[in-house]
Amino acid sequence: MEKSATVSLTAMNPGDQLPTGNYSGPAGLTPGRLGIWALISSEIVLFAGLFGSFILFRMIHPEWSEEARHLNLYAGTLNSLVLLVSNFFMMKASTSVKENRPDDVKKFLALTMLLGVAFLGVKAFEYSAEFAHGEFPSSGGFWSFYFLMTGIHATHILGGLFAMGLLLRRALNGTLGPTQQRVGLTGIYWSFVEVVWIFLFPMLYLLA
Amino acid sequence: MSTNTKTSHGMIFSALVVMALSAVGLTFLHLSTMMNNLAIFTVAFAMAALVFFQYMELKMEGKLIYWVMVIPCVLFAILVIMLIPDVCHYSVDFLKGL
Repeated sequence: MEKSATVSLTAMNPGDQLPTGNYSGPAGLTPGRLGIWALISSEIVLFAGLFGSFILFRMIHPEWSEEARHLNLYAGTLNSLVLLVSNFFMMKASTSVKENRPDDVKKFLALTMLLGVAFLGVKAFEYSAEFAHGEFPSSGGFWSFYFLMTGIHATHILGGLFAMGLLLRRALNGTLGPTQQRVGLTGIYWSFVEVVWIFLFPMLYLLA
Repeated sequence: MSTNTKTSHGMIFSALVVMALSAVGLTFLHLSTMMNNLAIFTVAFAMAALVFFQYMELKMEGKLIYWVMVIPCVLFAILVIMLIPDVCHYSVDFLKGL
């Protein structure tokens, strides 16, 4: 397999289209699939570092639980559910690509994006309430971590929405065909963004 | 295959919603700090495992991807171990109940 993959790569000329479909490189994976897992691996380093630091700081600052009570638990719970449903629709979009149902791909991508925007809307509502109560990133250790971690997570949501927007535009134009595997790859990324929230939510809102 | 996938995604989604609501419900039970934190992190790890193995299809990946995922976990462990001496300089109420 390794030999055939090398031959196919060296046989390519500048301007040739990249092979798609069942193509697999020397590692036995499509380049996109290996790339998305490498990206997720580096993201785990980023978030695990933040989470680890937060938990250790939280242990030596029990007074942070008092500050955490100012967070809106209902908004956080709503956002958890919104992201779960959004990811479910993303999985439906991936399945629709595999089953060659272009109309469903468009529908589920649009629904996923809509819920991603809703997540950001709820987060913006939370931020505005916290600012109104005088809580800023400079207000203390807890708030520094809170705004940093939720801000980075929101940035990842924005990145996912951008990727999905590009895919949706291609799907609407009917040019998704050769790049349809990217829907599945974006689904993997979106699931990872959900996993980050799965840990972020209890750490910030639920820790006693 | 498609029916299985649909069922599987639907079941996983239901399980995730139930677990997310359970984690929130646990905080209203007024358990001890240790028990509360242990319970919500257990639920979080279970949810993360479901998403990683089922939605992200990690269960179908080869050894290479598993190794790619082991590296950040090792780095995370190193980070935590290096921070423990700092934490030990303080009185940690959280650990007093142990």
